[in-house]
Amino acid sequence: MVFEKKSHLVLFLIGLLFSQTNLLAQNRFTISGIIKSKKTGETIIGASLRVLETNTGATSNEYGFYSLSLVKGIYSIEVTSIGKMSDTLKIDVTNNISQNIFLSDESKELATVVVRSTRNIGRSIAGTQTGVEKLSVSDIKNIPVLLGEKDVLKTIQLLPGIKSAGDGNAGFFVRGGTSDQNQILLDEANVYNASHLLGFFSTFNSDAIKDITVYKGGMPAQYGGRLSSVLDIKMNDGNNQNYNVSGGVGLISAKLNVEGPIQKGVSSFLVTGRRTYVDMFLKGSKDTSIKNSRLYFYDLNMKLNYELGKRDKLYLSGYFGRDILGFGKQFSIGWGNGTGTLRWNHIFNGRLFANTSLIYSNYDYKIQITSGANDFNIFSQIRDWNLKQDYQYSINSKNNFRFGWSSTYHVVRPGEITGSETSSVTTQKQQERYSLESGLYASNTYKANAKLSVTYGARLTAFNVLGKGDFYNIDNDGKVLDTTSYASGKVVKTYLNVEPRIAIGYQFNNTSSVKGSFVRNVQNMHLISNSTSSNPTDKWVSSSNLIKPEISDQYSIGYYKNLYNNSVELTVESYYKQMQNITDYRDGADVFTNNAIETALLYGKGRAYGVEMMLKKKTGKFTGWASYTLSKTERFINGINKNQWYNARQDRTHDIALVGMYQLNNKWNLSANWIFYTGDAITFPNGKYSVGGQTVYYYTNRNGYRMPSYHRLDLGATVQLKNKKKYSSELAFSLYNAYGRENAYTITFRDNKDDPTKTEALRTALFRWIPSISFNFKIK
Amino acid sequence: MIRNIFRLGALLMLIITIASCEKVIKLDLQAANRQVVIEGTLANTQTPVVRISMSKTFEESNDFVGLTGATVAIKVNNGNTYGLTPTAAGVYETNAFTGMPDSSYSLTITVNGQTFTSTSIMPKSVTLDTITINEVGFGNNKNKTVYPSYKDPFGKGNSYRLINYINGKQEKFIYVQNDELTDGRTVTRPLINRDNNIKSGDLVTTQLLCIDQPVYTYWFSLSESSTGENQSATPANPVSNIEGGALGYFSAYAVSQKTIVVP
Repeated sequence: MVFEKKSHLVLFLIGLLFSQTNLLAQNRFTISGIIKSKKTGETIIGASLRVLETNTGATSNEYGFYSLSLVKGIYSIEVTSIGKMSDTLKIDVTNNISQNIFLSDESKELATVVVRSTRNIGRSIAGTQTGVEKLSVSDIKNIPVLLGEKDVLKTIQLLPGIKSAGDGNAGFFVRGGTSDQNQILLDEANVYNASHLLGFFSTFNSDAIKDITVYKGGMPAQYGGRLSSVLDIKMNDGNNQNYNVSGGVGLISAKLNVEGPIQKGVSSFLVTGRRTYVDMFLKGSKDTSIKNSRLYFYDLNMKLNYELGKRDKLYLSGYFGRDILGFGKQFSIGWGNGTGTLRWNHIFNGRLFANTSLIYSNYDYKIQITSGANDFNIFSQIRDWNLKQDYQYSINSKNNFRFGWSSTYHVVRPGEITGSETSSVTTQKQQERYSLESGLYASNTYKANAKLSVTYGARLTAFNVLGKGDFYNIDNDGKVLDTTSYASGKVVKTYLNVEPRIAIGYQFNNTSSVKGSFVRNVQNMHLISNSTSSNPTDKWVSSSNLIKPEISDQYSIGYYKNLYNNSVELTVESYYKQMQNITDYRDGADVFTNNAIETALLYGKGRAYGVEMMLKKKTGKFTGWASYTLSKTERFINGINKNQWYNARQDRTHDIALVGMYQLNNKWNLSANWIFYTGDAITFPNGKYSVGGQTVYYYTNRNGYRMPSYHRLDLGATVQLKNKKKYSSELAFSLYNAYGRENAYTITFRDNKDDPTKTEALRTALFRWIPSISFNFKIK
Repeated sequence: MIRNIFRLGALLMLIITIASCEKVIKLDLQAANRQVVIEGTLANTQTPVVRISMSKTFEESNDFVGLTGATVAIKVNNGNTYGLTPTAAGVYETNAFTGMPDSSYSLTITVNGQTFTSTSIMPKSVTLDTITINEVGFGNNKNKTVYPSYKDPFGKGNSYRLINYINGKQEKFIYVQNDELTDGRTVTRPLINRDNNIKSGDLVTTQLLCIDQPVYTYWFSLSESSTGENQSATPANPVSNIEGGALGYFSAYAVSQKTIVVP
């Protein structure tokens, strides 16, 4: 029955594809090439091309490649991109043309005084894509943040539908999902733990980043593997024209970025590093245990690229980051990600572009304890090898076809403990888990006419749970009934899923459109965490014979309107999402020491719905946005809350962000943001009693209460010190939580110290009036 | 254990990096229906005691108010049944027997028309060999900490609860250990005391209670999510070994203890 459905879908897709191929017969030519920055040679992602005569267009892909299909004639092609001067090319089309396009940087003076040419910049009202947010690096640069550490993950939290995981936290929740349901990709490599220092900073050094796209819904078919969102981060390629050194020194970290050509115009390199030095302050202490403590993290991004010829380009990029936290000689914990991506772009012809990627991703942590009789260390790791290919085929001016495949081999080492002979702790190893996650997709965007576009496609995913290992059957109480051992390479279980990806866009006129989409997402890697903040020891588990793939179905609809000569854009989107096979902890489960993780889990479903609004001013001296989200997120887990629906922890009714940036003059840039949200849903006690001589609490409803409302104002200012041809420098100031609101980080309960017959609630607030200053420079 | 280690690290880090600010606040908490609370214990050195009370609202006093009029009985190894009689309001005792390792005890309580039952098996006794005091902590916040040492018998499945008494007064922290990671070893894991109330010259007594698996789960889940302090896990009621809907536990344990004067 299922198979029948699938084969129908495939036939349907093939049918649709071929019904359009007769259009190919026309005598059309292709203009294609790469769009680059004139100054740095960096490829430009998402640049818009518009043929003025025909009012058709195209957008450059993630490698800067574009393709236009035109009949013989002379055309003016306007090319625009954020932060770049637009250019209009005159092209006489008599045959297929391969032409790279170079765009100049928008000069700062011009950008601030003159209203920019904004025709296609920013969120496109055309096309079919819903639920997407893009941020420019300059937005990230100017928005004030905690301790002056510019942060991608904190800036996206100011966008509608994306919620902060807590005060000062880099973790985020998208449209009712949990943080592990966000797919965070750095140059296509999956980053399993995107945070440093227990979530207060993200692993992304904003100096190394070129482009950030967040998909909250309507994910294109080339993405798969997570339920809630895709955060696609592309690193800079490296300047292939000139050498550049830039850097900065802030309150808690220093950064350095070096880039330049290896062979001018052909190849380039980029190295970006960041290290925090909070622990340097500890060195000043007289106390030796403080002096010998370590508390820092670092990030290293590297990239090489090489043009093999007109048709081929190679990219090699890598990221390595680690946190180290240690107290004296007794205790240390280190954790971090390492990723590597080798990519090969190949242009078969002006219409067919392909990219092949070999991707490595690793996350591990290691705890070492050296304290008398308690000598031991713990190691845990998740490691992926991924090979994939993506093809883009511009069939004709009406059809744009994408297809490809991907296969990832996951190895999870849940925990390996090594204790010395005399230690309290024995050496033991939890079984490694192996799995293969594969995807095959095809998707076509069909422009029916100037107003109507449709994207239809599907992603077929297969997940093979592989041996070697023991797999369990468990009863309703979480007790192991029997165990089956599988040999190495034996398939334990295979999950097949079809994920339809459908979107429709209808453009009313030049300034407004409406779009709708349906998308199914499937997730096979699950983070088992009972904690609200991110812990490096949170456990990733793959789907098993008992843990089923999580599935979400999301319907969304949006209205998009450009106002005031395209300088202001209004977006209203609404969504409804259903989730299946969601997991949660069983009460009293100890996941660390448990070989059969399934005995600690309960399963259920979720639903989320909401409305998101954003008004964004993109040009002029004053820029910024106002965003508002009204939403509801609930869970139903068998065995929790007496089997009734309850608010998810991240359920927040209202979420408001106001962001403003003002260019005062050529030297000063001011910024401010204000955030308000309803407190998270939380479980508070409805009674108390005493056992073992201690007051303990009695709970009746899961997440039946709310934390107090959260609000905060941040201020920022940047002043240009020097701006010479060869050297520029600036100072950035910020003040986090400017009016010192005591936002509740936790609310805990305890006996009153003076009168133990009374109990009291204690609110802990973290960050108030946190000022910062940082110095940034650039040598050109 | 791993989570506790990590929490300690996180806590210390937060203290040094940021000055957090604490304030007692007033919350409007609903009052739940009162629940029967049972705390039943018997040991190899102690005759059975069952304390029965009712849960309270958040605002009420913590004083123990016993529940009278209960019928309490314990059946030993599916053989003889002994009735427990009130010795104070809500406190039910018998002097008819003390516990024996490897024996099974079944508790039945009838009160206000409700019946609660529970069974607990007393594990074999493990001797607490030594206790030592070491300083643990960071910077100037060094806490005198008790390090108990015992030899875990080979074979997984042993569970322990430890209780400290400082000058005869029971410390409120809940310490549970099992041999999931320490099977067959000499175990010397610290009992972290965040109140820092152990001083030189104090008399410290530590008891090692060998408990069965359901009682371990009870104390473990209680300390993880019911003490009101720990916000990293979702708050929830502990997993009780009492059937019938009462709060609390019934534990038959074998106990061993040591006392020292803090140097």
